[in-house]
Amino acid sequence: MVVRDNPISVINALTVTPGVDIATVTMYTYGPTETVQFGYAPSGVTDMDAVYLQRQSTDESDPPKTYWSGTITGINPAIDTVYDGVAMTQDGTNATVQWTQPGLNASPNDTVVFPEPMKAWLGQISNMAERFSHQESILADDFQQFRSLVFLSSWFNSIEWADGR
Amino acid sequence: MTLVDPSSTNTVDSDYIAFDDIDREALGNIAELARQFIHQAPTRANYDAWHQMVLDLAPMHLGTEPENGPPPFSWDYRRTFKIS
Repeated sequence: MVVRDNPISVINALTVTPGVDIATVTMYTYGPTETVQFGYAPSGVTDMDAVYLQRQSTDESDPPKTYWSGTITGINPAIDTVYDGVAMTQDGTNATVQWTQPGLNASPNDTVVFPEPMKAWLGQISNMAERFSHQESILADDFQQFRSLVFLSSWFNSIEWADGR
Repeated sequence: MTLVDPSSTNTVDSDYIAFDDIDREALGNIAELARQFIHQAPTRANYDAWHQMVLDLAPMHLGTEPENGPPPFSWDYRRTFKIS
């Protein structure tokens, strides 16, 4: 009888280097994966954005290492923000990482401005919170969606910097 | 693609949760502040404090059969994301 191997990927050396409004993800894998996705979000937020990492090279070590990297742009966090990330191969192997994204010299006196569509969402956030505060129980899924809306409010806003930049 | 934070508590759509009195009070404050944000753009400090109040909520999981029966209705979040 022939027993087929069912190799799975192994993720090693997953690191994130924060920059100014950008973060760089690097890692390497052993095994057969052809793609790696990297999901990320501020710590405590369940719904994550995801990017495909770029395959850089495969060396001749035994077993061979495949190197991956990627950049996350447009990160404009509040005050120093802790992020959670997860790298996931196509065979389901995953590894997690946490890093702190700098706050771009944010000031507590900066103004957070919401576009008109976000104001409609704020109304829904308010209505949901009000309802939750009066109900004996709610669906967990409803609460996840509530938190997702709040998470969106952190993305869909603009900053008027107190220092006039 | 939506990935799920592996550190979060696993739930399924039919799970029910409930809040204690502290969280209920916080939810009332969250609701009031969100209403204020619509009319008056908050400072970063106030917005961050509001966001942290949401992150600090710690609902209790009741499983699929809440003691007091299901809530009277369910929020249709899918409708929410149609707003552009």
